[in-house]
Amino acid sequence: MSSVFYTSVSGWAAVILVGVEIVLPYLLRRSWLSLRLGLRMAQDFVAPYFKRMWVHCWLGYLVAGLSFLHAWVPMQAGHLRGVSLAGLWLGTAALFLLALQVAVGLALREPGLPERRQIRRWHYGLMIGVVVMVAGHVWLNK
Amino acid sequence: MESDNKVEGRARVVWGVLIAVVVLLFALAVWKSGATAKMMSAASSSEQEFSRIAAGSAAKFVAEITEVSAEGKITGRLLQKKTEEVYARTATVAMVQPNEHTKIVMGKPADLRAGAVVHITGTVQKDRAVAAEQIVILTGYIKVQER
Repeated sequence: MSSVFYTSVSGWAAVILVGVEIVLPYLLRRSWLSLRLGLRMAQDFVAPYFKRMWVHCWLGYLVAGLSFLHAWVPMQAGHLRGVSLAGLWLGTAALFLLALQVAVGLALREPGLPERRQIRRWHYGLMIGVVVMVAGHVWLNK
Repeated sequence: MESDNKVEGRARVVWGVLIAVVVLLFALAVWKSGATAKMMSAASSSEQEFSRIAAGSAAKFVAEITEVSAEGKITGRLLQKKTEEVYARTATVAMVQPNEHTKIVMGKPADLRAGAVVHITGTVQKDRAVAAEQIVILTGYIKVQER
């Protein structure tokens, strides 16, 4: 049952990392959260925002990789019979949105991006989409 | 005004706590996944062992449901383990009686239908029916073959 273990652990790890990914940008820049936690003043002494965001970028790739693994392992093992089809579609949509999110994130790494504000809105909207799809997938397929 | 050292120290503590929470969540995920995988590969009785279990003794076996009565009584065929994921049908019929205390794991009561594969843990009654304490739904995770 190692495939069950890897499917489960990769899925939950991706869910935890999605949460970390959402919170990180608010901790790494001046926001109500970083202010409340007393992180802002300390951040003023370290690298600029773009450099500090490297963790967010790499965790994003890791989330996409883990999600792909989470889909690949049960498909290879043929473990998808008997589970909610609607939940699987939501999971598939989440995986698609994550791939899109990586592409948008890569674009945002360019400091001189002219449509930065608009693309950041897309990044935020996609994040909400991923959360909704993942929540539905977990609820129906847990 | 707080000193730089104090601010950096506080930031370090906050980051440390956040990282510890994430590590704890990861550990919980690994533990939960391991428990689920272990539950699904639980020990199961062979055909001979199953027929020898005395009334009042505990039984653990995997069965393919053939019928569920209106009262909820389950009739199934005992499955013999070949590998972790492949089981073979046997001629042995198993009767299972769930009750309101029976724990349904990895699924819901509606999943208990003809064709479903389940791992039963329970106690053998005088009439050879098994009073189920736990039923794990294994449908989709196990391949069933003819012997």
